[in-house]
Parts: sequence; structure tokens; C-alpha cells
Amino acid sequence: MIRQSVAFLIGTTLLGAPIPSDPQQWQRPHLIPAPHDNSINEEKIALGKKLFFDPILSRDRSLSCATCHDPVHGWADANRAAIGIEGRQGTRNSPTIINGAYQLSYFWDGRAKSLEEQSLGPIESHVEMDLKPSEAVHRLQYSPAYVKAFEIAFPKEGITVQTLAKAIASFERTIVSGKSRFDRWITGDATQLNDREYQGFRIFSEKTNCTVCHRGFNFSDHDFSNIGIDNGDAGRGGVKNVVSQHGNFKTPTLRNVSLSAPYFHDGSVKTLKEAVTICAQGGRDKHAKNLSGIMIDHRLSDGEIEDIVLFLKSLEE
Amino acid sequence: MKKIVLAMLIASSTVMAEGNPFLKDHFPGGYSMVGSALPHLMGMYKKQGGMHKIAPTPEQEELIEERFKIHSKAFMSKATRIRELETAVMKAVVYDGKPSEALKEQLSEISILKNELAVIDLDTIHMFKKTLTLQQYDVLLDMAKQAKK
Repeated sequence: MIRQSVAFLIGTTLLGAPIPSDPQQWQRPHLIPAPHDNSINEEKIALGKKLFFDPILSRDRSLSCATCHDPVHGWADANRAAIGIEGRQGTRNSPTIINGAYQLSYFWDGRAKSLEEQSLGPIESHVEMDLKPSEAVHRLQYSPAYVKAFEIAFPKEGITVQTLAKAIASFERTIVSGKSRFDRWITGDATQLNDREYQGFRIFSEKTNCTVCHRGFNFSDHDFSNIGIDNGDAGRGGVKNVVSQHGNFKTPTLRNVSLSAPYFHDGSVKTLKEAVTICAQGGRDKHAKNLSGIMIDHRLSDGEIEDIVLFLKSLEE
Repeated sequence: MKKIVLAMLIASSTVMAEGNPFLKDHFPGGYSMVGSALPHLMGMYKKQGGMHKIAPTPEQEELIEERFKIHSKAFMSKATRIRELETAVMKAVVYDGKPSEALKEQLSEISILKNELAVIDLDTIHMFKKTLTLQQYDVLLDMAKQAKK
């Protein structure tokens, strides 16, 4: 009897959470995409990494890209909105850069079409690093170490605004997901998720509409939606001057989401549970003008919401 | 040894059935009476990156987004209702052993809702055809064909 009980326990433990029949959709492709004019190599990555962590790219040399895209905080930061030089206050939460290589547009409003374009945005922004890219280039040209590094990474091109952007983008492309417990589970190790995390995944992917937007390995559809977080920010609607997109923001990835609080474009939500609850209930401002039709109240129990939160924590790396 | 193996087999079936509440919410084998939540062209455009490939003008984006607002609301509510009915039908037949005659009302409602969904779907395809250029429309159709493979 005792041996049978032990075997039962071993069996349930060993078997773990059954893996879905279509795991491929949740697995990151091995190939990291890069544009034709900026293929990835080790020299560019090394240079880009150095630049990413160097405050030389801010006007007062106090901030680097990593100040707001901190690896400790899931490549985001813990502030409600980005804080620039001299304490200048931005209006939007710093998004994570993880899996940036696979995105189709950048920033919450999708105004940048490439990582190269994105990398220059915060450098130039008055409320962030406030340094004209041409001035950044000028500073770098006075550093023999950077002159040498750029010559190696971009032979015969030297230090220009374009090679500065290409270097940073090359490093950013290497920040990819693939080492979380969820990834180990989806690739065959059934023991990586416990019962509640597995239930959370099932609720997320089958019982609710979460995966209409948070789909695929990056848990994002690259689209823009209005989920009822209305603070007057026009979002995508302001970029394209499209009234029906007013208040629409890019679907963020959920990779490392448990590390990148606070949440939503305005950083107004402090905890992951609150964020999940808002989405599960159909948005916070249900009378928002362009509230997406996908936002419905799924009437989840508190336990089900907690299960989703537990599942989302399994995406931590 | 045999007892240990038997206990593990029992454990596995327990995990698969009782440990998995979703198993009883689906037809065996994953069969579903209603497909994806969004009509495939709108899904291609909005959820599969089509918008970024097509690069619509602001005017086009406005029209498509307006259409999306209308149809996603309607589509989502009808698809959700079909799903509820389907689950009830499935449980009645697979687990409670009821014949189809006992489920005529639910089946009739499913059929009406699916007809309404089809109309939304076709109107959406019509909207894309009217709104996009020939080249843009071909890009979308191509995406749909690739997805089918």
C-alpha cells in the first residue's frame, strides 16, 4: 500500500503539466532577424553593448540607455514613466526591449519602423537623454577607444549617426527570450510548470481572449489596441492622425512581465495581478471612446486571475 | 513492480482527467464547432502583422479600424455565445448521453449565430476589397494563403 502511494506521488510529480499539441507557436525562431544593411556580428554587438551602457550618450552624461532599460528589471525600469536628465518626466512607461528583433514597430505608438530608428529616439528626446545624435557622434569621435571600435565594427564607415544607430540596434537584437521555465516546459520538460501555472496557461490561452492580442512566442500581435487605459494620450492615433486609433497602444510582450512593473503605457498599474484583473474584466475605462471590441468581462474568479499571474511569472528569465 | 507501474498509470489518468478541468470543456480530440475569434482577413491584418506589410494610408487605416470596432464587438459576443452553447452540447452528448433531438434548440441557436458570423466575415472581406489598393489586397490574400499552408 505504501509502495503504491509513493508510486502514485512519483507518477503525478514526474508527469507534470501536459504540453500543448502545438508547441511551435510558443517557441522563438532560432534565427534573429536583421536588416540587409545591418547584419549582426560580434564586433557590432560588443560596440552596441558598450554604447547601451554608456552615459556618454546623454547631454549631462548622467543616463545611459540601460538606465530605463535595466536588465535587472526585465530590460525596463521600475518608474511609472521614464525619467530623463535633470529629473525630466516623460509620459509613458519604459517598455522592455526583450525580443525587439522580432517586433514590427517600436515605441508604444509604433512610430519607429526599425530598431535603428528606435535607438536614436530616446537619445534625442528632450525629456530623456536630450542629445542630438550629431552631437553624440562628435563626442564619440574624441574617444580613441570608440574610434577604434567603430573602425572594427564598421570598416571605412567610421562614426556616423547611422553607425551609432546600427551598433545599438545590433546589441538590442541580441536581447531575446528563450530561457524561462515556460520555454523549458513548451520544449518538452513537463515538470517546469506546476498545476496552478498550467491552469493559468489554459485560462490565458483557452478560456479568455488573452491570446487574441498576446499571441505567439513573444506574446504580442504587433497590433495597437485600446484596452480602456484612458489618460488622454492619443497613442497610435496621434502618430497616424487616425481618429479611430485614438488611445490605441502597441500590445506589449509579456516576456519578463513580472519583472517590469508598473504596467500599461502610462505605468499607472503597480501590480501584475491588478493588470491581469483589469484586462480580464474588459478594461479599466469601459466607456473609453475606442475601446477594443475584444475587451469583454470574462468574469474570472480571484483564483483564476491568480493562476494567470502564476503562469505569467513562469515567463521570467 | 507491477503494482508500482499500475499506480503510475492510474496517476497519469488522474492527472489527465481530474487534474485537468479543461478536458471536460472540449470535444475529445479538440474538435470545435466555431473557428478562430476573428475572420481570417481581419486577423491577418490586425493580428498577424498585415498592417505593417500593407502600410495603409491614414484614411485606409481609419476605415479599417472603424470596421474592426464594429465587427470585433459583434463577432466576439456571438463567438462567445456559440462557445457556451457548444460546451453545453458537448457535455450533454459526450458525458450525459443525450441524443441530438434533445438539443434542437441549442443547435438551432448555434446555426443562426454562425450564419450571422458568416455575414460579418463576408462584409469584412468586402470592406478590405473596397478599401485597399489591388496590390495591398493581394498582399493580404497572399498572407492568408501562406497561413493556410
